[in-house]
Amino acid sequence: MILLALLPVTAAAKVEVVTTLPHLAYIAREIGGDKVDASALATGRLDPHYITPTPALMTRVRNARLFVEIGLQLELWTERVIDGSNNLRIRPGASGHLYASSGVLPLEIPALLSRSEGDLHPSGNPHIWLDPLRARRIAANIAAGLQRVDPDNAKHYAVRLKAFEQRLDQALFGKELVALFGGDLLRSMAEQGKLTGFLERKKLGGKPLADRLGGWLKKARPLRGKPVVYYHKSWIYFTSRFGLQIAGYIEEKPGIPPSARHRADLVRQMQRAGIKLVVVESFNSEKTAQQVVEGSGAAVVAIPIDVGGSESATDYFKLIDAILDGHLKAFGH
Amino acid sequence: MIELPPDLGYLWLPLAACLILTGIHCYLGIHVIARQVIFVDLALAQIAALGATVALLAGHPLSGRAAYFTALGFACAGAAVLAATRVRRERVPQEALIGIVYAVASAAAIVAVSAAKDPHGAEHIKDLLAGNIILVDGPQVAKTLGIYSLIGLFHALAFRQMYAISFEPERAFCSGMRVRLWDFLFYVSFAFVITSSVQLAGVLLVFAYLIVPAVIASLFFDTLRARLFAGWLVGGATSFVGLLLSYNLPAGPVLVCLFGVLLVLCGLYRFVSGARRPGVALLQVLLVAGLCAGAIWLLVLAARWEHEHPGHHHHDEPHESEPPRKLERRQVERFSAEVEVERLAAKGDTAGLEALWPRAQREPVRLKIALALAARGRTFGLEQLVWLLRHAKTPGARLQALGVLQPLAGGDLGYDPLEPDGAATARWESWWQASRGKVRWNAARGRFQLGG
Repeated sequence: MILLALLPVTAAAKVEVVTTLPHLAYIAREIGGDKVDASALATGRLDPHYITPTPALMTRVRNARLFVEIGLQLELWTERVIDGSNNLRIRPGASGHLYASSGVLPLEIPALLSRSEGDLHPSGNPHIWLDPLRARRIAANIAAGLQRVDPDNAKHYAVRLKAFEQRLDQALFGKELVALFGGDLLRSMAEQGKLTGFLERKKLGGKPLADRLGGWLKKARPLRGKPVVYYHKSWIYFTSRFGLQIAGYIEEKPGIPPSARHRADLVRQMQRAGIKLVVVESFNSEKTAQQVVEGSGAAVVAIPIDVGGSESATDYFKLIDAILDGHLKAFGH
Repeated sequence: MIELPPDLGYLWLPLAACLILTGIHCYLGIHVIARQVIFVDLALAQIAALGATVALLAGHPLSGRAAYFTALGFACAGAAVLAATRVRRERVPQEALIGIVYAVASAAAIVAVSAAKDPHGAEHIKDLLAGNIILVDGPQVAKTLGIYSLIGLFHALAFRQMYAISFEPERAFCSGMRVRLWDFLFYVSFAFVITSSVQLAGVLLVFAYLIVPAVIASLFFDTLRARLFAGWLVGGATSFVGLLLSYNLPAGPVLVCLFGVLLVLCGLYRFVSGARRPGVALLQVLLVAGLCAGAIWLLVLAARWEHEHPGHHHHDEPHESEPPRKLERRQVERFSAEVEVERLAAKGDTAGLEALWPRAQREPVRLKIALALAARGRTFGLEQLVWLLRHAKTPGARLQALGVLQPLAGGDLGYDPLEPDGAATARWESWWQASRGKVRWNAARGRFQLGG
């Protein structure tokens, strides 16, 4: 009895969070701080569509209190892993399961649902994290999930979420605009498509507000309107946020390597439109891209699509930096 | 690369499946070797896989009933063809035909998947080849056990005939036995086994279970019974070790590789022990092994040299993740206050919000309080917003305050939130003095109105 009284109060165990993709683990770590142990099942270099479920993965998931996946039919292999882990807390629908995409407005919802149209994502394109504003929503969802499984620390997660949102806002709009207008206002204007007009019309201190724009939006200004050919259909959120134009895809249909006819069509189109840049992800066939590009004189650039996808992309912020840098370098900036 | 498991729970069901497979496959394999028609099982396995692919393209799941029966149909048709082409005096050796069948069946599966433009096609082809035995579940094991028990029973009852057509075909012909019929029955039972096994273990492992334990057993033993038991022992032990190594690697291919390694070792042992001068033989083996090891070591060295000089960097291990960012005290205070405001607002605790206002020092917090109160029908919120029009330091706060007040006043009164001048601000303050008694909260619409 006396011994029990002498036992020190043990610190509460960290919340085990397991995510599918690396950027989700990064965000979970930032929101959770020192109260959370987050890890990802996939690495940044792997194709997130195809991960082989092994007993090793299932064991990692067994002890998870929160399981985070993007959803939108991106990670079809999670069902096997969750079933095999026998962890009832994290089954879809249970409190420990989280779709990071809930509440996110998706793009590219297919009009025609058929296998011959290629990779099926009937609810929309799942690569939502490539738009920093949608990543903000992902962070809010993760915070809500953490508050659900660990309500005692709800305030801690809420505070860290605000800090993360501010970091994201400053990285996207630049510190000056965030100090002047606040991240929430800028975000809602950007989501409604009103931000560009607002910045161009309004003046402060004699110069237009647009001059005070910083961060990624400023960095991406030279890319506005530029056409790019991508390998796989992952980029719509990035291009719509930063104003690029998707001129075509190397894959004929998502997930299906290009036929000779498609390659010829694409080369002709690229020559006509003067397209100079082809972007591939680290697990795409660079060789196929090179073959397509040979006739057209464009450059092929490999770009990471998730944290860990390249040496420099060690966190979400550096990932967006790396993606922007890759695009800018090809256009000579 | 190989990760060892912390506990063996995942192992037992797959091991049961492997042992069941070993049981029947070893027996059939001994027959197949005696017939000296080795590739028939690989070809039949691939034909079954082709059948499953066709079913998949028609929309049926790979492990479902439709796929099973389609695969079975294909396999039986293949079995019939193989039985029919056996007996006649051949111009072309049957092995050639079987090899061709295998190649064509594999290619047909790939073409089918490409023509149907299945985006997961490559995955499915790989799944059929490598199998998924580690994910087998209880019902599958039970079903397999049932089917194989029946087939085993059939072979036990027909043991004499089966032995004759495989091990003593000439005598069987002479004795007037209906060889072709029994051949066909053999191949059909074979097709049943192959089809069930392919769905479970994949083409490669099915072939390995059929041939390798039987071959290893025949290196050391001569009688059918001895070979059978030895093969079972080899198959069972290899299955266990292979599954142990398959914690984070695909189990089917790991088992096949393990079988290969074991076969090489057994073969080397026989070579050395059966040689006229074992010492010399042993030296020869060690020399060759040494040369191979040396070649591999050189390759590894070359790869590492290339790695150190900028070439193609491969970082498969995840980076040590940086610890989460520490927040400054200033940030924690500000965000805690904002969180508190949001919490009170969500609860509808307007009294609590009003009480916070005097203590709130940061502008974002004050703005949040004002907006929350104004949105919940408290005129004090409107007063705070007018106060912010004059005293706020950031254009954003002024902009948001104006956004709420503007509909009430019917205009912005010439106030520019980015660079307000004193006159416009004074206009707003007098407007408020005049209107504060006249604003009414319209609960149904959820906003203020100038009433009366």
